[in-house]
Amino acid sequence: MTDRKTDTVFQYLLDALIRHKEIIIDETLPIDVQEDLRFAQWMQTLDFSPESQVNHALRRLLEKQVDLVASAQQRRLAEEAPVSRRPRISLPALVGLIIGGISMVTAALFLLLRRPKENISEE
Amino acid sequence: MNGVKNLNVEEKVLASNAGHQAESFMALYDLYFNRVYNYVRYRCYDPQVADDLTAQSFLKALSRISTYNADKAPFGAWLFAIVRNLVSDYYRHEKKYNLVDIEDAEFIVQPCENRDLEESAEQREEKIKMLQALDKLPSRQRDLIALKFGSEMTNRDIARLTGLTEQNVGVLVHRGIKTLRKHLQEGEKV
Repeated sequence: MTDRKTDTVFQYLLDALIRHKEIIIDETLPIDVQEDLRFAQWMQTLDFSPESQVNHALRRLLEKQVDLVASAQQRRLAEEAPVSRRPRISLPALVGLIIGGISMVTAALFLLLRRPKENISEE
Repeated sequence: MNGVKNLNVEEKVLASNAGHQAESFMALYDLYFNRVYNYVRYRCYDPQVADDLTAQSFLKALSRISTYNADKAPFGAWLFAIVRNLVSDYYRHEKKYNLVDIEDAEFIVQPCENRDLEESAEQREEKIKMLQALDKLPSRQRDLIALKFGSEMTNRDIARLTGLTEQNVGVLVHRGIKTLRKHLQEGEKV
């Protein structure tokens, strides 16, 4: 088998090994590929994580940090809320505004319509 | 394959909620802790440094989780980009590097509750030999081996992360395995 073919076969089987944790090595493969795969299979069994001294303490620290982030977000939302829930204009005020507006328009129209008559009478 | 697909969907949902829900980030932490620690350990001989870099990786990921976009990349790729940068920074500034701040020392020296004390002496020795052999690899090859076996990524994901072609990743990983095998065999002969 050429080097390139060996590489391709090896890569395919290695990906399968990583995904499924275990594969049956075909004994018709070149000895070199078989040995590399056996070695990769052994490497796959190495797990350093039980040696870690940080896992549980780090988890606790992260939980605290996450809680801080969450409460900061809630506080920000609570601070933003009064702005969005600004009290709307009350009904009596609205009626007053409408009446005021109408009377102003009426007064303006009255003045405009009255002026020409005064001008005529003066003449 | 379905399992892998489902896991990615689950990861996406978890990661997009991670900034808002404590449980989501902690679920991601549980899903990735072993892989992150193993990756860092493949790259650093010193277990104390590995602990510290793992802790820094997750703290940084949490502080940046709001910038993660699940549509752009899987959570694992995003997380391992952070981890790789931290490990590279460590090697760049190794002399200046302070292992642990006194304030944080408490969580570094605490023994892990689930530590497997019954691990056989033979297994421990195998791991040490492996770490010694890894130390002899060029840093790029060591990184690729760590991504392959520590973080359990596929060649495609490694290629995306490193900017190499998928074919190139495969060839370099294969060469790395051959070199490791050679170093370990030489060690046994001595």
